[in-house]
Amino acid sequence: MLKLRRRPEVVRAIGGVYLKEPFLGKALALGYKVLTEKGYPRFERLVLSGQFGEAGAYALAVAKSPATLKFGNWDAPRGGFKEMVKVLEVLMPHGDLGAVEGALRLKSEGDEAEVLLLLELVEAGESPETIARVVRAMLAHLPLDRKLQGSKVVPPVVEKKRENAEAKEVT
Amino acid sequence: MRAKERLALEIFRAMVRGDRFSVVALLQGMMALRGEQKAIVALLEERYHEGVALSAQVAASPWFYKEVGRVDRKTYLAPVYELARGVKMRGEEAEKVAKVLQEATWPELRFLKQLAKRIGMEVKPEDLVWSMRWLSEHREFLNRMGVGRYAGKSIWEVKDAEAEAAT
Repeated sequence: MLKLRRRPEVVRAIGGVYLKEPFLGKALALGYKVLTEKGYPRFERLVLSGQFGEAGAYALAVAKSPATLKFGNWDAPRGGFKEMVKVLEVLMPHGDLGAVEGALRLKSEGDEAEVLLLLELVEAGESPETIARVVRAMLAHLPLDRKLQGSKVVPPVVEKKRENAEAKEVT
Repeated sequence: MRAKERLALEIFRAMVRGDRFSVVALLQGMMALRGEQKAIVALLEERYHEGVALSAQVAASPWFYKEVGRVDRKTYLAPVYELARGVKMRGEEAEKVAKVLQEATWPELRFLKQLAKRIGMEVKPEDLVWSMRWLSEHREFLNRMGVGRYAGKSIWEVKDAEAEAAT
């Protein structure tokens, strides 16, 4: 189950970036999903002040660092994300078939960061046209992102610390 | 009313009645050529069950050519979804209607297209959405009953072979 943060301004800004710069948009979406209470305020401040590059780099640094705690970014569960129903509900009456098909694909192939961003956009009351465009942008970026494993989160290394502690005790 | 439109209406009525095996048989009839479809529709008027049986047998017999479209689903169904645009869909329903786009076989596509032509006369947009949902809900059943599978040749194969022979 995805937990919403409910920050409409941040989400709108990220959606706007996603349309033009997919790599940065993906990094921001990843940060929005992955950051904990500790790192999130800083990220939000950077995004709201328009420093998207810095915010994206910060998000990626945290996501790829083995030294910090963060939330996971998992792939779709078996049967896809059930939450995508809300997005389809908005897109269906709009009549953009390409976007509808894309949303269905994201349901089974997308990861949590992408789905969370779409859900938040729906929650923020964005227009169906914008959501459809974001879905298309995500879908266009999806193969490259999966190939580079750009949205893979490095888990914090807990084992090594323990080993070090034990080693210290021994000496 | 053309034969294929009439056939689509009969399928829709069978859906409403809940006769799902009749739906399967009549859907198979959607692959028949115009002449056969006329015969099926004429029989449906007089003796309904004879017509249903003929519709199933035409698809099963290798002696009739079938019309199997080679179309892009999205472009083919775009006007249908355009008509369904105003209908409000809630939750699961939207997903079921969207899934038709991915999973529907050729006779179902053709059925939806023909049914969409009757909107404003016998059919309302809500009915169109309802039948899409019906198809999605019965997907496994329809696949197991072999909707869209036929014996013999499709008319396009024949035409291709003729064109090749001519060159």
